[in-house]
Amino acid sequence: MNIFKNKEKFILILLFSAMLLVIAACSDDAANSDDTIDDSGEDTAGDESEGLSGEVEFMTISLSPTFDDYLNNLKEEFEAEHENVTINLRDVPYDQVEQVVLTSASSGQLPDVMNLNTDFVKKLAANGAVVNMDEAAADVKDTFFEGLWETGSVNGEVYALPWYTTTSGLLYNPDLLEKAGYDAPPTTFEEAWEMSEKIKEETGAYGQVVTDEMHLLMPKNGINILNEDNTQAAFNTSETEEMWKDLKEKYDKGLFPEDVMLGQVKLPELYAQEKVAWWSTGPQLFRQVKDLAPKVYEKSLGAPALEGKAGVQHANPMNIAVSSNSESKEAAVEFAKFVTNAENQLEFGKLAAVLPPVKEAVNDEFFTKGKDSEDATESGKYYAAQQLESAVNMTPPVEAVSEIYKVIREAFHRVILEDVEPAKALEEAEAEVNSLLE
Amino acid sequence: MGQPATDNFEPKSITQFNKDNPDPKDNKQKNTGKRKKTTRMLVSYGFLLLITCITIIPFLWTVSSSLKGAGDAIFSIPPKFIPGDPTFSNFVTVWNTLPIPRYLLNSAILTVFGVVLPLFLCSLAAFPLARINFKGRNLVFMAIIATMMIPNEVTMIPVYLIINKLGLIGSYTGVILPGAITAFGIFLMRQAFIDIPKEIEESAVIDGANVWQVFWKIMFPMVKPMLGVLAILSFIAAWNNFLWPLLVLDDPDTYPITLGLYKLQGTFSANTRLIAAGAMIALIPIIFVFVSFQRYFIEAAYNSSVKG
Amino acid sequence: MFKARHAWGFLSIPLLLLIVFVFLPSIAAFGLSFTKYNVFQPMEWIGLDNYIAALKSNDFREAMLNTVYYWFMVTPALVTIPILIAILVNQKLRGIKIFRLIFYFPVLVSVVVTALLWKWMFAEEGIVNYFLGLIGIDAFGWLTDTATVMPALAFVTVWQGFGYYMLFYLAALQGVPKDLYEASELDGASFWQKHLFVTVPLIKPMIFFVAVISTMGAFKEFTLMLTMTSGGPLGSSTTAVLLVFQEAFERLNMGYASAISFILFVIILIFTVINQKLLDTPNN
Repeated sequence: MNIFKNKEKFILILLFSAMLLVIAACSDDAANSDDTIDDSGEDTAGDESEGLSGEVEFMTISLSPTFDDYLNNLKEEFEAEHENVTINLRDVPYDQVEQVVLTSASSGQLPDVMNLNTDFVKKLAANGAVVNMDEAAADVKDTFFEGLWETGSVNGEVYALPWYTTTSGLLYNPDLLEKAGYDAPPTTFEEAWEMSEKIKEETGAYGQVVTDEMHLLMPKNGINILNEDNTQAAFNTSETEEMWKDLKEKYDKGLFPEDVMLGQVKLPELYAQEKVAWWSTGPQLFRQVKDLAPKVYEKSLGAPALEGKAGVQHANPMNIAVSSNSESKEAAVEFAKFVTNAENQLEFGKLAAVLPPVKEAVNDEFFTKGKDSEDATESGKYYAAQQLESAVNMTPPVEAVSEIYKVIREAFHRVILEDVEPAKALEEAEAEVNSLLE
Repeated sequence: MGQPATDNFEPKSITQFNKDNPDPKDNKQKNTGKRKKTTRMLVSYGFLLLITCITIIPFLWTVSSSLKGAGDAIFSIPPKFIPGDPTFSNFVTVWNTLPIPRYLLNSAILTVFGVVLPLFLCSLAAFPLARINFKGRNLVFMAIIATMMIPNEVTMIPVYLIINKLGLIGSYTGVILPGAITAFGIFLMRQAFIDIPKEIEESAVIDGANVWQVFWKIMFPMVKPMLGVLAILSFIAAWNNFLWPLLVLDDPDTYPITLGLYKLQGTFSANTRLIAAGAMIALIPIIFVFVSFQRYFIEAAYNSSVKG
Repeated sequence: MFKARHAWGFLSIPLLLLIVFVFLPSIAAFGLSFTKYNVFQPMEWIGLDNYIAALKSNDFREAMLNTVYYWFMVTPALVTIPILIAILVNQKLRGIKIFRLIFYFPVLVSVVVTALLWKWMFAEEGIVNYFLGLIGIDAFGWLTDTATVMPALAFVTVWQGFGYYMLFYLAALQGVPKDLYEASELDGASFWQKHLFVTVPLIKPMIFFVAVISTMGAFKEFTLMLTMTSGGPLGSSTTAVLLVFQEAFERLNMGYASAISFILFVIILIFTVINQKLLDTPNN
């Protein structure tokens, strides 16, 4: 192994200088592509009066092939309306979205219109990669529920249009409840925990469980993650300490399993095995139980979501964002608005059993008729739609949301799994979050 | 690594051994040998079955899940491998929702190049690295090995930028070229070329063969067992590759099967039965290839191992 | 016997491809490690800052320790077990071809199916615990306990990898002449003794090769962790390359991710040299 032989040293030096050249070339590229961004921005601005034109790539997440017809319809309708615009559809598997977006961005070819989850929108927005919707889509802002419009906000500006959304409902197993002597599902977290103890005793199944979404459980119970101007952590309070202490006691009593808390086991799998009495989730996901264990699904019923101390529900929309260096930005923004308008959202909501974050769409009979339905998905849909008015997206409007969430989750896990004092875990998490916000 | 470690080690020891090999066996020894052989056979089968139990699970699980109807639970305790109500409907659904034949054809095209190119190019590079003494050999070999120590995740974007610069985005060439030659393949084939005794090369040269003939007519056929291994590994790598085609290809009609099957995991539903059925469809060609390539590196070698 | 120009002739096309698709990207990645780069904004040269930050970082140190721990469990097993199995399936027995195929199944199964299956096997309400329950052992959260998650993942790796390395050994065994065995059989050597003293020394180059390849594989593993545990619980199954992946594609720290990769590079290099020192023949 004599890589560093004297005679070969100079070749190493050669390689090193080649490397420097490459870096130089790369940074030139970056600078160049920057210029082109500015140019194209001006160009499209100039074209505005002459109608829309250009090619628009629309990237969706795991919607093909189930919704191919719907997406193709959108494409055709829009192209018919704007004859100089071509829409190219591209569907990407959920797990690979980040890699696809980042590699295409590296070559300056970010898809023009993108379906993105909330955390990733904030990352892109903070780096100036997507168009400011408060400005570009000011005209349609009022058609959305306010609490949902804010989903794409970072540092006070909104960078994405809310697309389809979900709020929570409750899918429950009446058999298990009956065995424990209950004839109705819980309505609040407090009640849920009370029932859990009895259910565990009588049936061995879990009732209320803690999932890997501690960052949502806290705001649902009135604990803010960040302070008002989003510059500092605000969750290190006596209420949180109380809550975590309480949950630790419940864990020690065996009231909830750690694999669900860690996200290692998905709740529908436990529910399908009748190992847990209820599952709070969006009604569009109820059917997963149907896939896993049809018999369990058949006897299940739907109910409104559990309420926390804050009395507010979380809604988590998918978002539509537009690339800020799109070559046909005007057309792209117009298409983004088109996809998220009341008519198209309603149609998609019907197809996918999701909720449209648009005020007009949600009053449609489709969402109100299921109230007394026997089918859990139908009734769940009704309850979920009812919540939309008051639902908010609880994601803090900062770039580092996913990192902040991770810090909070892990601090809680330390309390549960490693017996760390809640006060200590919270203090450390607070410091970490503050350094992330710097 | 440096110098080929085994240049003069292995061939010599083999020939020495062979010279000392005594051949006569008397009847007595034959009989005890036979009894020994039967016990050994039984023990071998015992082990083989034990390992089979461990390795066949994923296959059984995939087959059984793909045949389970809507009434059968997938994750049940205790595990149930025999479907209560076996059905081919999952396969039918997969077949009807996705253009399976087209995906298979795309995969076949990508895989043929993904196997043939590495086999040839890696051997081409490995031959001089193993058999020719030249200045810079160590440096070239070290540089190749060194690239294997860098995670692909950080070179992915640079490779993408190069493919983009070459105008190959959206083309099969862009999918195939970065994998046409691999450091791993060179390393593997070099290992195979090193093991060939020097005498074979020398006698070929005396017979008037030039360097290309020595490589192509004499050495290349001799590394068949390792080529078989590399072929299988390249096949699996090319067949299962989905991230790179996803990044490079922009038209879903050109997707290979693995990428196409990702469509079974939709945003709102991930039906395990369909995923299993899809996995079976993708698995069958690999099994077929494995069975046919196995011949090259086992039986072919069986026959030729009487050398010396 | 052959000249340097012959060598370069053979190498020309392979080297051209390697330079374009392997060396240049690697050099670019190395260059990236001295910059701050998030794909969306121009690169910014920051010298050694990424390296300093990595060496100071707890996350990185933990990930590195996890990786070495994983390597320690995986590589020795993957170097030795496949030899035994290769010898086992290299016998002329009826139906041996089918066994070879079956042993190879785990390699063929896709990542998605592997993750689905083993999560279910190791779940608290899973198959492993079910069978342990039958013999009176309490259920245990294999993938949810910081102490057992890495051994469990290492087990999956060995399960999936032994068929892969079995292939190399099988190919190498074909070069071992049959009469060698017969020679030692006459001396009354048992089946395994025979292989230990005859076969193993002869396939030493292949053992070295497998040690190198499986070491690199172990140090670069992350898909298994990403799909089965996402690096948890509490980061206890976050390997170095999983951290690279998260930094690059989830936190957009491309430069930092590169710096981690090149620290890892140096560590793999050291391990490779040790491998060579341990396994190379002395007459080199």
